Amino acid sequence: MLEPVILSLKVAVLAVMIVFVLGLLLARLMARHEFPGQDVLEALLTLPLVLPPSVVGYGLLVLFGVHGPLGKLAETLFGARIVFTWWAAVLAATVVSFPLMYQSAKAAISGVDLNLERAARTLGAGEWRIFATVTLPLAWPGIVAGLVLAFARALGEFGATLMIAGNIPGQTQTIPLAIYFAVESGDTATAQTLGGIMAMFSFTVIFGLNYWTKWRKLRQEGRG
Amino acid sequence: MLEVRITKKLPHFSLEVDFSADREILVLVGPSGAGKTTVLDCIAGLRNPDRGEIRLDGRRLFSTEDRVNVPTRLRRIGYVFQNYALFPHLTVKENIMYGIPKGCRCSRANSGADGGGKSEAEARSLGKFSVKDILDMFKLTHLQSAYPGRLSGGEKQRTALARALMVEPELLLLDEPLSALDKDTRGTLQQELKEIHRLWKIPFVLITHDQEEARLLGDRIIGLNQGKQL
Repeated sequence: MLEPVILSLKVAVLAVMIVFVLGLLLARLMARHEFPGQDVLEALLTLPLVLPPSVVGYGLLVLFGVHGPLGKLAETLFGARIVFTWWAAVLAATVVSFPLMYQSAKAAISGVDLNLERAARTLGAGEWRIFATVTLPLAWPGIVAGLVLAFARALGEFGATLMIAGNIPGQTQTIPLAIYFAVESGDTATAQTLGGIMAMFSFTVIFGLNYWTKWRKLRQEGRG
Repeated sequence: MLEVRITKKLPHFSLEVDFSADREILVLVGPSGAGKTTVLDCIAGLRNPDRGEIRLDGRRLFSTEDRVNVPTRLRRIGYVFQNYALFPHLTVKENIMYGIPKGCRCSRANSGADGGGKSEAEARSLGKFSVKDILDMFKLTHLQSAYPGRLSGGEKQRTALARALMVEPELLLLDEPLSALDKDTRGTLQQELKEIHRLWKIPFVLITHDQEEARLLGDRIIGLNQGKQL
């Protein structure tokens, strides 16, 4: 029973790490630059949030399958297939949780006063230093919120994971899959325990995030 | 010596200015929307003119003819923004130290410590003001650990000035530095600005919509309306 829990955590942590880096870079690009085709890219980046997970999963299967273009590329590069391994579960979790991080980070970065970045520029700072010392610290609450939501979403990912990673106990069977197949085979005890873990965890995440936001706001008011 | 000769098309008119400033306070005065801030932004490199040339002490910062456009961070121009643009997550001292390159911090602190007996003018001629000197000079020592949100308008203004001057710029730009302040603070700061200018001996380019303020502060005044020099 512990196996799906550990696997789920492993998959979600790795997915969120990828989402953090990609989401931050793309959020900064989209929030601070204008270029042709931006609206199309914006829609594409948010698409996994509104598409049914089964569609995302099928899309990934087509792309990363043994005969798919990216699947073939992975085969030649690493000599390994992605589908129906735990990497596929990471891939599915990354894709579906990405928009949550991206949207939060973009809103947070857009909210940072442009004049502060301009001031830093006149003080001799380069673009990376400005991002690390001005933009990032000021956008941090929004980024953390996005990160937490992305983690929760990655942990709960079901549809796309089932399509591309399958249900292999110990390899790709994450908590949501384990619950589904436990119920299907009449193992209500397992389903209830895992379901309880998920519910408690999600509750803690949302409660903790709200609490932290409130506490931070109070502290900020204390500062000025 | 600052030399500016630029044109830039703006939504409602086109901006054309041609002026120079030696070690004086040059005031650009004009109604809001006259293009004053755009001029400062172009000098600082935050926006690009369509055509023209900008030189500072013989250094070419911008030239359409020779395709020169020095990035803002290398221009050595201090800029005090209209809303001060202080970093809200950094203390007064951290704000002031933001522009000092990392490697320089120790050596400056030391030189400040053993340069204690020197007059301000001597210290300036050596190009070395320590953070401590600056905090003293701008009467910010007791506020050094405070965050900008806690400061009064005048204190914010002094912090912004100190931060811009800490990087030893060759030119200081000030966007409506006194407009957000009440009458009493304004009077004090006017005197302080002149005093600072006397100490630093670099050109100040200041913009305001207030004719009175322009007369009080400016060694030279240039009017600006609808992007045209009067």
